[in-house]
This record gives sequence, structure tokens and C-alpha cells, in this order.
Amino acid sequence: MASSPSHDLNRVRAAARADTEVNFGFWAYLMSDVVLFSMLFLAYVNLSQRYAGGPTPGEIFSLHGVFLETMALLASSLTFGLAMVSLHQGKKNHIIGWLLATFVLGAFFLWHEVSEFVHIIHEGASFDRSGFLSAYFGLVGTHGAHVFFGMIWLLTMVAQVALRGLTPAIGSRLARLSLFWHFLDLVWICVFSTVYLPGLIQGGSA
Amino acid sequence: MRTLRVPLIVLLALALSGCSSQWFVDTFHLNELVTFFTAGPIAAYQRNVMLFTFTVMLFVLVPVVGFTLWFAWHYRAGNNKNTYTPNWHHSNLLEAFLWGGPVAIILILAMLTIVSTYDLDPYKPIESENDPIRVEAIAMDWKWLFIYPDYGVAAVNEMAMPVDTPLQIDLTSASVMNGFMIPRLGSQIMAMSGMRTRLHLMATEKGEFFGKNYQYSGDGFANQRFTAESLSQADFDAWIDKARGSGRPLDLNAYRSLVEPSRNVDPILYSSVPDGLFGYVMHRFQVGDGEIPPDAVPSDLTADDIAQHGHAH
Amino acid sequence: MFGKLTLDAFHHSSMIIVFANVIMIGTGLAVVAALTYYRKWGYLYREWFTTVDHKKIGVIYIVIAMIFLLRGFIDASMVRAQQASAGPGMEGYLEAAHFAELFTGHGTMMIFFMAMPFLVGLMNIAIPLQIGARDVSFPLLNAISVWLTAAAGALVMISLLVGSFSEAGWSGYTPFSGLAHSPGPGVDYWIWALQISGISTTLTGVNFVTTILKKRAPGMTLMRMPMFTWTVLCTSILIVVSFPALTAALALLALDRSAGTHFFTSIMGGDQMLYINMFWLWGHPEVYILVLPAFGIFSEVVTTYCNKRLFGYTSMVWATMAIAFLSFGVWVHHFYTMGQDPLRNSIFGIATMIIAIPTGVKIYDWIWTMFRGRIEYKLPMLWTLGFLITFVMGGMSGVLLAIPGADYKMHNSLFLVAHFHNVLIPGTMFGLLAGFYYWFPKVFGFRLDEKWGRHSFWGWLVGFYVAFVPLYMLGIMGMPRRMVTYDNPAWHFWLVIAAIGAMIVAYGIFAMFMQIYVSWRDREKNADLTGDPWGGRTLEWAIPSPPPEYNFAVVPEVRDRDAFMEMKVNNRAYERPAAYEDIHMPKSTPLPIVIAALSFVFGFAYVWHIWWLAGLCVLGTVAAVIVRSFNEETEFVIPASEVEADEDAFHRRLKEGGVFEHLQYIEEYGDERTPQGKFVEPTTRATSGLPG
Repeated sequence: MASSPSHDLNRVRAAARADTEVNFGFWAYLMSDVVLFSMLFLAYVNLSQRYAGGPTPGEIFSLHGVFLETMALLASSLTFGLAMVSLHQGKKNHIIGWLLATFVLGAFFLWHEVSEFVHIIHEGASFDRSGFLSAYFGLVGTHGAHVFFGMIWLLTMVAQVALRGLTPAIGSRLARLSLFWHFLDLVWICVFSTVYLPGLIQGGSA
Repeated sequence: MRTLRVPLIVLLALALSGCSSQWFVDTFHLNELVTFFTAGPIAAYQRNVMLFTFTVMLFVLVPVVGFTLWFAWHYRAGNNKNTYTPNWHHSNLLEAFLWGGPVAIILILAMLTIVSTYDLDPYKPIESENDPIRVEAIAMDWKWLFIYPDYGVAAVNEMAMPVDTPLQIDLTSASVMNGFMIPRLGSQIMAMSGMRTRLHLMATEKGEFFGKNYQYSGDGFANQRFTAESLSQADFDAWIDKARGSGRPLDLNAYRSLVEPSRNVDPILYSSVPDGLFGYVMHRFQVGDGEIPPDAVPSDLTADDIAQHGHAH
Repeated sequence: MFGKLTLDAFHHSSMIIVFANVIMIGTGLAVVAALTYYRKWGYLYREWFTTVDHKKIGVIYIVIAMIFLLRGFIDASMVRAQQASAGPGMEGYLEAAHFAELFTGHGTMMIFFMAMPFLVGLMNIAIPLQIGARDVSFPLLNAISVWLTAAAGALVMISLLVGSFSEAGWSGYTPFSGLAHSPGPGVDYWIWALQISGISTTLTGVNFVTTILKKRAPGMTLMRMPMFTWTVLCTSILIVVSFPALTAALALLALDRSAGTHFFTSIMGGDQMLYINMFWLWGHPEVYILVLPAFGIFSEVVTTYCNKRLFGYTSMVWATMAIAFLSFGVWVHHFYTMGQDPLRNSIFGIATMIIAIPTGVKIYDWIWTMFRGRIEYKLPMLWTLGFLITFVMGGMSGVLLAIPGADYKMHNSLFLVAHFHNVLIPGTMFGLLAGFYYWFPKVFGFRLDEKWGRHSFWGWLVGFYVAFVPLYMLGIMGMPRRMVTYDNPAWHFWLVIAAIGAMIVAYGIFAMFMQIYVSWRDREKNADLTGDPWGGRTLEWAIPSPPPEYNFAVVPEVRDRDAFMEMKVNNRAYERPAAYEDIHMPKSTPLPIVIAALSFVFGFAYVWHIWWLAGLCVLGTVAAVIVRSFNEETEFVIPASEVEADEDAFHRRLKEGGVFEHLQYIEEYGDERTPQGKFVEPTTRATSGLPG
């Protein structure tokens, strides 16, 4: 089929329309994730005083570690923002660089979180000790799992940018990954202010 | 069909005249409609709420069914004489009625809801000349333990109450969630481990009432029932004496073996109960694994130890 | 190596289960043998297993729903048979545990694997056609959804063979569903079947919210959407917002059971009521997820067969949105008896009743649509009438139960069981069947047989009353639900009647399958040449039956709520453009069945604690998605010439069917003289060939 100019224009319009459609769908998915997290927050708030004779938040949380994790995650949002700036400037290598920086910060966050989990469990405060601890591990762990899958997605995008260059499809995917990543940041802020802050204020510092 | 119509009507009339109302009651077991044959003020109130609601709802049911059948017949495609307005689709007046009617009905029922819910709050004591009797009920797999703390006795799958005397029943569970109900007295309430719920009931007539766990709880569920006896004060005192004289104390060992799952349990009477057993059972679920340790002393617990959890108040 | 899975899992003490397995495996083998013999595997793989076409996906959903309708109904009949054969001095024929599996399985299957797939199937078939789209927004995701549902259903099926199913009721209340009280694999099967199908539904919700909001044909404003599209939009929003609550509840329950956490246990600080709150936070909206699209179907059916515009469209839309919104504020009414204060109970009670207002408005809107109409009693209209009369009684008992004071008395009794069947059977099942008969010709190109359809309808309707009026009586007699044995002779009398009712419904179901067979046999005679067998009013009737893969050769322009009717009346139906354009459509792909197979194995491995296998499945899924993301050749082109040839053939059939003369007639005589857009049954139809 010979393609006329008007036909090409239609294709471009259709592609743009499809792009907003996919973004809209991704927002809808994020809404469902918001509900998922709110259920976990609900569980945490409900169970946060149920120590069953076990350790309290003040005994297991360390402000130091949480501070580092928060900084790493906030910084990773910044680096992702810079990656998106590079996308708009069309600088392929910069994008890859900033994405990798985001990945490293995410990895630092996750590594820190996991080592803190291991530390808490070794102190006898595992997730099977009390309702409070189950809720803590459940909520923070689900956020961590999201970060983990976000990192897999990041690596995939690095590979796609490197192999395919800056196609419209890849730009559009990066935009959605960016949404996802900032969303996780937002959730973390909520985790910080629901879990760690009251826990440390109530229980004194460890 | 048309040819059959007259004989059918005659037959129906004959059948109706031939059967007395007693025949209906017997055949359809209408005397078993326990929701309507109540034996206490709570159940009677509930019956009245239901009948009132039913009556109000007839104002919905009758027009809906009536209009549906009328329009369905009248506007059938074969009946070409009727007005046909294919594009008519809106009428402010009619819409006002369609929204207003249900709103009015729900307003009436909403008021009924508020009043009746406060009146029938299971935690609300029943007013009576007689002082209430306390009962502590513990749901187990698959039976009920009833403790009478004021009398120091207990019973399994059997409870007694003096007629016209309110009962204040505290409930918890030593296993999964159970639903306590004596249909003729009214109001069901859940019994949950680590938590206490409370229910007030009163019988205004003497008799033996069927009581049961209404919340599915496993293999023995179907037979997890008990008899609630409403007795004269003298008979109730005799029942307490019978329990005291049974010579079977419910010590912690007996409790531990009782709490093991068992089906089809016949009624048992206990002559004594450790002080604070009910609270202790709750407490063990709140802080531990629900088991009663060998060196337990239930009466040592204070009310603070048995802090309330969750929504139950 | 195999976790907790040992040969014991294959051992069944009950002969009934052994027999069921023989039937299940026998049927499975027979199907496989037949497909092999007739060399249909290639066809199935190309046309069905790898398809991303929403119409075919809809059909697959409905096939799944039909299979589980049978299984769910067999379970229901066995429950009825047990309660009818137990009684004073009688034990019945079932063990308590088996009985519990049956009532759990019945509820789970009917809701998750019958009603949900049926409704999502109809959504898939009708929504893109009604809004003038060529597909849903995310066709691949759609295919993943359907095969995930199939995988979840397969988990339920295999629980019959390996291990056992849950005994904890369809709502799986904690702590009974916890490891301490339900140590077997049953609850785990239940969790993963629900979890996988729940995720599939969430994806469907995302898909249809996007499709409806972003893919409507030009001119179709929100207030010009057909009612079915409106209700599906509301349902999809409800799905997106409520299903994650179920996902969370099930995930935490799974952790409690496999990792030893204490979210919902009764010990160590767990909170059993948390689960119940979370479950009903999903569970109540779910009721409206099931019922709203059925309401939409009734709206379509009433307007079509009354040959009239829908009365009170705006009211309907607002009522639908009000129901959707309110459905999140009523979940506590599932457990008034857990000891909340009367303030909370009355608030939730009143909120529940308020839902009756928009529902009542909808009912009256349908009734007033019938007013001054020309009602044709085709099958879907019959189901609608059955619904109107029966549903109002279910609503009545619902308002009764919404009053906490009355619910204290009726909770957990058979009155409750009668109530929700009285809402869900007319409200959902009748609606789904009406939609099935209504859209069947659109999908398959031939209509369903009326005679057997009427048998089916009367079987269902009469059977319903005979089966459930006794349950109301039993509730008033104080009989709790879920009793395997009892010794009250009065209960026995009514339970026997209820069992007879189940048999009458069984005839209705039998008649429905007979109807499908008979209609298929006579498909030439029942053929729908014009694509508009009922004189439809919405866009799906503007295209051939079955529709081409791309649905619309030219995307239609909408000028009215009853978009197609407007075209017919203003003589712009079936207009042809000066030239057709190439159409881009998504390619088939095996990715959905790969992901579904991995999910199935994951669920099975998790149930039996075969951790390495579960881990491999997660890895495999992630890898499959990544590999797919590198594939950019996801579309193919249908050339304009092919589209034009299809359209030529369609217009020949339209001419044969006498459509154009009829349109002429409408134009000359106007709409007040004759039911609009009704085609005179052409006598030539019986002799002409099948379309397409």
C-alpha cells in the first residue's frame, strides 16, 4: 500500500493518542497500587500496638539507617528526573548514565533495607514474633519488592535505550517508569511518617 | 388452557375449603417459625422491626410487581391499539416521584434503624425488677462452656436462667470465631478469641430453647448446640445446686482436656470454676499462643492485663 | 524436592470424589482425543490460544463461565441433596468435611469463575463494539487476563484431584482459614485461585476504564454512551479500586499460612477482624461489580425489545454512579454482630439502605421504558421481566437485613442465604443470560433457539422460587447456614422442597445446553444476515455478525445516544466511504498462555511448598515480559482492499435481507407508525447461506 502524507499524519496522530491511552492505563494501575498500599497501611496502623509481649518499635528501629535509606531514595528520584531531562534533550548517553545512577541508589536503598531486616531478625524480632512485626515487615517489604521490580525495569530500559536508541516507544516507557519510581518515593515518605517516625517518637531511640 | 380454567378454579376452591388452618400449620410446620414465636423482649422487638419493615416495603413491592405485569401485558407488541411513543424518554414529574418515593420510604426506615439499633444494642442492659445474672460463655471446638461467676459453677452445652431475669452474657472464644444465638430470645453475637463481646437477653416465659453456634467453625459445627432452660427462680436455684453437687470441678487440667476438639458433646455440669478463668483465656490469646501454661493462676490477672483489643467495647 | 506433595495427596477416601475425578479426567481425555483426531490443535492455537481479539477473548471467558456454571451447580445440588437426605435420624451421604468443601467450592466458583468470567466475557464482546472501537486499549493485557482466569480455574479443578479444596467458606474467615485450624492444602488452593483470578480482574478493570474513557468513536460524549457502557465503566472503576483490597488480604493470609506471620491469626497479636474488614472492603463493592453490568444489560434489552428510548437515561447514569460510590461505605453490614457500637452500626445500616434508592429508581426507569412501548417477548426480554419481579423481593429482604436490629436475628441463617441468592440470581445470573441471548447472534452469526430458551427460562424461574422460598422460611425458623446434619423435622420438610427446586433449575440449565446444541445444528435457519437481528439501537448492530476482526471498516460518527437508531432513522446507516483505509491490528502472541501456564504452576507449587518451582515461575514470568518488551513488531496490516471486499459481501447480504427497503419504509412513514428499525422477517433467509 502506498502511503499518502495524510495517511502518515493519521498514523502519527493515532500513535500520540495511543500514547496518552497507555499513560492513562498506567495511572489506573497506579491507583490500584495505591489501594494495595493503603490496605497494608491499614494493617500496620491496626497492628502497630500489638507487640504480644515482644519488641516495640523503639527497640528495633534505627534512625541512622532509615535516614540513609530515605536520602538514597530521594536522591534516586532526582537522578531519574535528570534522566528525563536528558530524554527531552535527546542525549542518549546521559540518559543511560542517570538511569544507572538511579539504579545504584535504588540498590543501595534495598541493600540497606535488607541488611536491616536481617539485623532485626537476628535480634529475635522476626516477622513471626508478633502482629506488629508482621505488619512492619509486610508493609516495608512490599515497598522494597516494588523497588526491586522497579530496578529490573530500570535495567531493561537501560538495555533498550542502549540497543534501540531513543524511539518514541522507549521515551514513552521511560515516562511511565519515571511515574512509577516517583510513586515509590511517595509511598516511602508515607512509610517513613507512619512507621518509623511514630515508632521512634513513642519508643525513644535505640 | 381455557378449557381447563373452570375445573381448576373449582378444584382450588374445594381444596381450600377442605383444609382447615390447622392443616396448613401442620403441613408447612408454621409453628416452627421461631422468629415470630418469641420468648423474650429482645426477640419480640426484633420481630416487630421485621414486620414493620416488611409492611413498609410492600409499598415498593406491590407497585413494582403490579406495574411490571400490567405494562408487560398491556404494551405487548401484538396489541397494536395502544399508544406507542418510541421517543418519549423523560418526564420531570415522573422522575420526581421515582426519586421521591424511595427517598421517603428510606427516610422512614432510617429512623426505625437508628431507634431500633440503639434499643437493641447487645451491650445495653435490659431493664427489669430483677438483678441481672452474669454468664461468661467460652466457645470451643465444638461446644459451649457457660460459667456462672456469681455462683462459682459452670456447664457445657447447657445453660439455665430464671424467668424474667436479665442475663448479661460475656463471650469469648478459645478457638475460631463463633456466633452465639438462642433464636427464641433474639440477637446473635460473635465470640472471638482474645476479645470480649457482650449480650443481654431475657426470657419472659419458661421453657427449653434451642441455642447454637451460627458461625461455621469446622467439622463439629452442625452439632455445636446447647439447650437454654428458662426456669422458675426455685428451679434455677435447684439447677445451681445440682451443678454444685456434681462433684466435678473445672480445674485447669479439666479445662485443658475440655478445650480439645470434640463433637456431639453431651451436657456436663461443673461444681467449681477457677476465679478469672474467662479473662485468663482471653489474655492467653492476646499475649501468647492461646495455650494455658501448667503454672497458671488465672485470678492473678488484673483488668489491665486483659486489655481490650479491636472493635469490641 | 516436591515440598509437601506426596502420593497421599492423590488418595481420596470418598468414593464421590474418586468418581468426580474419573468424570473430570475422562472428559478431559475425550476432549484432547477429539481435538487430536479432528486435527484441531493448530486451529485452536492460531485462532484461540494466541488471539488478542476481544471478541474471541469474550467467547473464551464465557466458555470458562459455562464450565464453572456446571461445576458450581453440581456442588449446589450436592449441598441440597445432603440437606434433604439428612434430618431427624438421618446422616445424609456426605462427611462434614466434604460438605464444607462443597459449599465453599460452590460460592467460590459461582462468584469468581462463573459470574465474573461471564460478565467480563460480555464486556469484552460488547464494549468495543458499542463504543465504535476496533479493540480494547490493551489487547495483549486482555489476553493475559483471560488466560490467568483460566489458570486460576484450573487450580480449582486440580484441587479435586490433588489434595482437597478449602473448607473455610467462600469468604475464608480468619482465624478458621489460618494454618492452625485449616492445616490442609485446601485454603492455599482457594487463596491462589482467587489471587490469580483477582489479578486478572484488576487488569481487566484497568483495561476497560481506559478503553471506555479513551477509545470512544468521535461524537460519543459520556452522556451519549449506551447504558451498558456506563455500567461497565462504573464496574471497572470499582474493580480498580476494590480488587487490590482482596489481593492484599489474600497475600497476607498466604503469608500467615506459609511464613508464620501474625496478621490475622488469633494469637500473638494478630487481628482476625482485620481480615474480615479487608475482605468486605472488597467484597461489598464486588456485589455491585457483579450487579451493575447486569443492570446495563437490562437497559439495553428493555430499550431494544420495547422499541423505545430508555426512560430516564440521566437518572440511570446518576443512579449507577451513586451505587458505585456508596458501595464502598457499607462493608460493615456484613458483620453487625461483631460488637460495634450502635452508632457505627446505624450509620452503615442507613448507608446500606440508601443504596436501595438509586436501585429503586433504576427499576422504575425500566418499567417506564416499557410504558407505551411495543414489547416483543424475545428471550432476553423474558429474563428481564423475571428479573424485575424477582429482584425486588431480594431487595426487600436486603433492606430488612440492612437494619442492624433485624440482622442481629437473621445473620448467618438461611434467610441470609436466601437473600443473597435472591439478589444475585435474578440480578446477575438473569442479566448475564439475557446478555448471552442478546449478543449471541452478534458473535456467532446465528440466533439461539426460542423454544428451548423458553424452557430454560421457566426452569430457572420456577426452580428459583421453589428452591429459595423454603430457604426464607428456614431462616425464619432459625436454621443456621452450612449445617451438614440437623434433627428438626420442620426443617427437613422445607429442605426437601428446596432440593426439588434445585432439580427444576437443573432442567433449566439442561435446556440451555440443549438450546445451544439445537441452535448450532439449525444455524443456517437461524442465521443473522444483516447483523441487526433485533432492530438494535446501538453501534454493535451496525456491523456484520460475526463482526470482522477490525469490527468497524470505518469508525462511525455518533450523533445520538441510540447511535445506530439515529443512523437508521436519518438514513445514514451502512454508509460507505469514498475509499477504505488500511487497518492496523495487534498480532497474535503466545505470551498470554505462557504467563498463564507459569502462574498456574506457581500457584500449584506454592500450595505444596515446592519453593524452587515457584521461584522458577516468577523468574520465567519476568523474563517473558522482558523479552516481549524488546519485540516491536506487534502489529499487522489489513489492506484496504480486503476491507472493501468484506464490506461488499456485507452489503450483498444486507440487500438479501431486505434491509434497504425497510430503511426506506422508516423514512417514508416515520417512527410513530411502526417499531423503528424493525426489519420484516424476509422469507428468503432460510435458504441463503451463512455469512462470512
